[in-house]
Parts: sequence; structure tokens; C-alpha cells
Amino acid sequence: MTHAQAFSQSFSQTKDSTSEVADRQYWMSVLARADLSDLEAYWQNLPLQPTFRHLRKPEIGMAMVRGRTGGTGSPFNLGEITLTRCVVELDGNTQGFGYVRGRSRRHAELAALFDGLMCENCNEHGPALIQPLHEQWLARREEVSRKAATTKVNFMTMVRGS
Amino acid sequence: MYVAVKGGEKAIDQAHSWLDETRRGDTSIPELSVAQIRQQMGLAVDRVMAEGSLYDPELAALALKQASGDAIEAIFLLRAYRTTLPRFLASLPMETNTMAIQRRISAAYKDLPGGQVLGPTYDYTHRLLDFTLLANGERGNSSPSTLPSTQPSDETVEDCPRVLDFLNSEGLIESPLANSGDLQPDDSAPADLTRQPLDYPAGRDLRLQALARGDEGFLLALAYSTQRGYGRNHPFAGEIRQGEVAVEIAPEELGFAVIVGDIQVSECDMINQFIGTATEAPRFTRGYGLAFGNSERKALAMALVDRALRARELGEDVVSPAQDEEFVLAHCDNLDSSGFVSHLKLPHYVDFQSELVLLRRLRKEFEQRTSGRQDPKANTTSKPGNQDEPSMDNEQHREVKQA
Amino acid sequence: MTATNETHLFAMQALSTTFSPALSPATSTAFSLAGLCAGFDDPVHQSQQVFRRALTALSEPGTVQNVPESPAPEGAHSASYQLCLTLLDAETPLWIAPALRTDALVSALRFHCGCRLVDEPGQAEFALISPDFDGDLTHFAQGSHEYPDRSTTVIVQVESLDAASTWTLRGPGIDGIRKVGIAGLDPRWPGMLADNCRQFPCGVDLMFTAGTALMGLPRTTRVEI
Repeated sequence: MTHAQAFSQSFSQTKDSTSEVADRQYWMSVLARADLSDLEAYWQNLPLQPTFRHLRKPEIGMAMVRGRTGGTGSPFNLGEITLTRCVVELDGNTQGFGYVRGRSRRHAELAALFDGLMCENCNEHGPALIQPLHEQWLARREEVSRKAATTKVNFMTMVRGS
Repeated sequence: MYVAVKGGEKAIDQAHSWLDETRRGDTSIPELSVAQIRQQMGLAVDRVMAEGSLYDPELAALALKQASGDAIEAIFLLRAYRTTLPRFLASLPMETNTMAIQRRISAAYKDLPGGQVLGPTYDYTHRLLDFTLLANGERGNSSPSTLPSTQPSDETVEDCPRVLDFLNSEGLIESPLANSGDLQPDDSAPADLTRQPLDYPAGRDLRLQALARGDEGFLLALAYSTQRGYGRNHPFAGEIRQGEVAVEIAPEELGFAVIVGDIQVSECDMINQFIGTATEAPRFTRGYGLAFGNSERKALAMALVDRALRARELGEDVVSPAQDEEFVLAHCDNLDSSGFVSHLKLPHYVDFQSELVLLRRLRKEFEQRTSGRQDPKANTTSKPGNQDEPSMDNEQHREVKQA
Repeated sequence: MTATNETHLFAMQALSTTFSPALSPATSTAFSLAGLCAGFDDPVHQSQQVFRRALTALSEPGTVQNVPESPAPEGAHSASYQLCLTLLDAETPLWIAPALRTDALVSALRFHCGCRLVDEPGQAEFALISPDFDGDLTHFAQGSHEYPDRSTTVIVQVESLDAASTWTLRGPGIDGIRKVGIAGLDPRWPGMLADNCRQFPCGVDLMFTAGTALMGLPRTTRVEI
């Protein structure tokens, strides 16, 4: 089974990240792609919800999405996406950042909180939160890819004339 | 000239109230939810996002509901909404080579790595109205367990390398970097027509932005015109792709890039003929289309028009509308177009009065001229430029001449 | 294929239960957020209020407008800081005179506004300076005859805006004349302002700040001593 398609550059297109940054890029992308309900459920079930303050309250805005001419050439402005961002500071002075496509303030806030919690204690929340969410996302994506594979065709060229 | 008019407030309120009623339709029919539109009118939602230039399926669905399904009105609503939001930053350029493929076809190569993946396409449908949708709803009578569903394959889609890269490696097609002459793409900030007024000649970045948010119908007609000979450039659909691509941003305060989610896009690489010049060998050239959502027709049309607009750069004669940058870019935005056409509905009472006065005067002059036809000299004094002068002057001129 | 394989491996690694040791946020983010000066608590309304003051300041040149008290990073006047929070974002490059370029101010503006700091005054849409800055007003972007709006808006931090009146202002937004007393400007200023005014429609617009007070001096205002 090839996962290459679904996995390729799932976390960042940047190539020069240190492993700490790469790990953080990984979990931040997982948090951004997660369903709000799953994040909320995990937050509600935390034995001890950390106290925190907002360095930046959840805020809805946009990002201009760029494409590349011919797919691989120089960039151009394609159009905007809605984007919500939030920055929190946990008790222990750890900052968490959330950037989420769409307009869910709560999603951005929870993404920021879990980013902070992951920075503090990734060995607890990594296996319990990030990994299952990532697997869910992968499974959804793989399902789509398997459906697409059923529509794969081999066109046969008919021999003309006699 | 515009003159403010007052009044009509009550009538306007009533018109809006009736509009709401009309939009809702027969209340014995269940109301359509935004979620239903988003799920079941997906291609309309995608068009509104593409031309509204804002990717947010929920808002696009809401706009369609509010606009009674009028795409241009919905696009207007979305564009108006986007002006209320701050733009935090621009994304890193999307790498569409990493697209999670749902559809991928090439009309240039039959057998290619990754294969031809049809995806959820209308292409091979028979275009026969499906009366089961009318009579019973979905086939299987709407029980969720029996709704049509695709049985997934055991395999996922294989890697789909970009078709144009095959040609590129053989040197048969221009490099995607052809214009810059660089080995690397120029990743400096591209021009942005939402920030600076459109200026001609426009770079390809600006043209692609204008086309990406341009009206599908207008681009489609222009694309068709190139195929019918108005700027012919012999196109082949090298590759068409649909699927999800990650959007990644690098916030100033974070210091590294993060993915914020995925968006559905349609992409088209067009291969076009180029006969070469005295100094350049014949080779294929490229046209490119990219649009939000499943907007394949739009991406195809965009790619054809993009190529047509490169005429000047490729040393071709600019002889057709699709090759005329100013003609295309100035008229492809459906909000610009509908705004200026629709403004004719606004009161022009004073303009019209002045036209009436002018017309009456011209007719009077005409009558005086024709009644005085016996004198051939009288005609020579009548010039088009005289229409702004008081008619007495004409009379005086005539008298002077006759004297 | 190599690239995707590497990513694939990384995916597997990331899926395993071990992550790198907890990060020190200071090393992972672009700059330290420790002790970061707060921005607006209610960005929409507070920035609207400050914008209204800025608009009045520029449309009635020479009048003193006051913004509400609020903390500002070291080196910045409260009014300057609030103007920055109101007017700057990711699309407005900012130049800060070296003397004012404290870590606290830079971090706060980069975080709250997301604005880019530029090295050349001429690249900046906004600039924050003190009166004794090195150079003169022509170093900033002046705009063009086609686009006079493409000039720098310069925020000047002065000692006080209510000193004994020394200057007489004339021009649009002033009924006759208006007397102002700006303390802390060196003798170069009247000449620089006169040159700036002569450039119309090009030239820079100025905002003078002292504490929570601000005063506008657009390019249309003529200064007499």
C-alpha cells in the first residue's frame, strides 16, 4: 500500500526545519485539520484544565492564498481563505499558537491551547490526542483516495481501418 | 451628472419584505438549509467561492441562499463580506504537485504514471434528466444505508507526477520559469489587484489573479473564441487535476511555517503550439488555470485565455479579443461588469432631461435645414461639432454666409 | 521519490509515541514573547476610537487629540503605540529610527500588528521617529503624482504638544490660523516642513505624539514661525 500520495509533505513544504520545529509543524497541522468536536471533547476530559490568558484573543481574518504559475513557477495571488488565529499563554509561561482555516474562534483557541500543552508535555498529549487525530485525518484522506482509485481507467486505442 | 433623490423609503422596505417572501417561496415546502446547499449544490458553492475570491464553503452557501441562487449576487455578497475582514498575511505558494488527487486526466497522453483518474465527473453522464430524483428523491428511496456509495478500492491513487514535467525534461516545452530566465521561481511578492489598481501592461501574475476571479461565462466565451480562430493556439489539455492542497502560512510572530488546513482546487495545464522564431526552436508553450473548488470548466477556460494573453510576450500578433490584455482584464470581473451595467437602473433624470433638450434642438435645426434645402450652401455650415452651440449661432452663421 | 520517502519516514516517526523533548518556546518562535506588552483588549472598538482621533487630528491640523491611557512598550509614547496598533498590519512596512528600536517595541509591534520592519525609510509606509532622527523628511517615500497616497506617514515622538505657542499654521482644515507649541523639535524642522509642503501633492503626512496626546500635520499645512 502506498501512502506516499496522502502523506507527501503533509506537515510543511519547508525543507530546512530543525527536528523540534518539524515536530511542532506536525502537531499544529494536525490540530488545524482536526474536527472541533474532537478537540472540545479532549479538552473537557482533561483531568486538570490549565489556566491561561490570551495574548491574542481568537480573531477572524483572511490569508491571501498564492498559487504558482504552471504549478511550479513564480507565485501569483489566487484568492483568499478565511483564517482564525489565537495565541494563549499557559500558567507555566508557555505560549501556544493556533492558526485554523475557517471562522471558528473556539477551534483556533483550542488549537492554541493544545499547541501550548504539547510544548509543555508532548509525551502525554502526543499519543493521546495528536496521534489519534492524525490517524483519523489520514483515514479520511485515504478513503477519498481509494474511491478515486476505483475511477482509474485505461483507455484503449482502437485500431483503425482494416 | 448625478442628483440625489429622496423618498421611496417605505416602498423600498416593502420591496425587501416581498423579496424575502419570494426568496422563501411556498412555506408548505421545507426550508433549504445552508448546510444542504453546501452539501448538495457544491458546484454552485465552488463557483461563488472562485469568483467571490474567498474560500469559505459555508459563507458561499449562505450567500447563495440569500441571493435566491443568483450566482453573481452571491459573489457580490461574498466580496462585500471579505472587505470587512483584516488580511493577516499571504500564504506560501501552494505546491499543487502534492495535491491529494481526486481527479486527474490527460488528453495528451493515454498511458502515464498514476493513470487516468476520472473522479466524480459529469463527463460520461448521458445528460438525460433523471426522473427518479424528481419522483422519489435519491435512488434507493433515501434510506441512508441504501444511498448510492462508491465502494473504495483496496489501493489508493498512485503518485501522479506532473505531465508537463515529462515534456519539460525532454526540452519540448518551455520551462514554467520561461519568463524570468532564472533557475528558481521568483518567490518575491506577486502583484495584487486588490491592493493596487490594474495597470497595463500587466505581468502574468496579475493576469492570472484577474482570470482566477474572473467570470466563468466570459472566460469560457473567450476561450471558445480562440478555438474558433480568434487567436488560435492549438491547445491540448495536458493535465487536469482536482483535489485537496494544503495551505501553509509563515506568521511573522511564529518564525516558521504551519499548515492551516486544506482547500479543494481545480488545476489545468494546457499545452499549446508555438512555431518558434528566428532565434528560438519550435516548442510547446503553456497556459495555466487554477481555481477554488471543483471548477474544471473555469480552469480550462482560464488556461486558454492565459495562453492567449501571452501573445505579446511570445511575439505573436495581437489580433483577437482574447489576446487583448486590456479588453480581457478590464471586462472579466463580473462585479465590475454587473455594477456598471446595473447602474443604468439608477435615476438618471437630469441626464435624460438634458438629452431631451438637446434632441429637441437638433430636430428643430434639422427641420429648419430641410425646409431651407433650396439653398445648397445652407448644408455646408452644418457640422456635427455644432450641436453644443446655441441654435441662434447657427442661424447667425448662415445669415452671415448668405450675406 | 526520495523526498516523499523521507516525508513518509518522518510521518511514521511522528506517529510513534516519542516526540522531541519539550521545546523552549523562546527558541521556537521568532522572538521572545516574555513580558510582551499587551495590545488592545478589544481591538475592533479601541482601534476605531483611535482611528477617529487620528482622522480628526489630520483633518483639523494643529488641534491636540487625546487617546485613552494604556500601557506602551519601553521607548514608545502611548499615543504612538496606539496609532501603530490601529494603523499597522502585515501589509504596512514600518521603519523605526534606531534610537527607538527597543526589543520591547519591536516584539510588540511584530506580534500585535504582524508588520514587517524595513531597513530603509523609503520602503516604509509608516515610520516612527524622534525629532533628532538622522536624515530628513525627503528620505521617506514621497508618493508620485499618479499615486500621492504612496508616501510614508511619519509618527514623531516629541516632548510635549502644549508648550507656549511658537508656530502659526495655515491651510485646509484651519479656519484662518492656528497657533501650536510643539516642544523638543530641533531648528531643522521648520525648513523641513516648508520643503515638505512645497512638494504637494507629494510629501509625507506627520503625526506628532507626546504621551497620550497627538497632533496631525498633513502635507497641506503651512508652518510659519
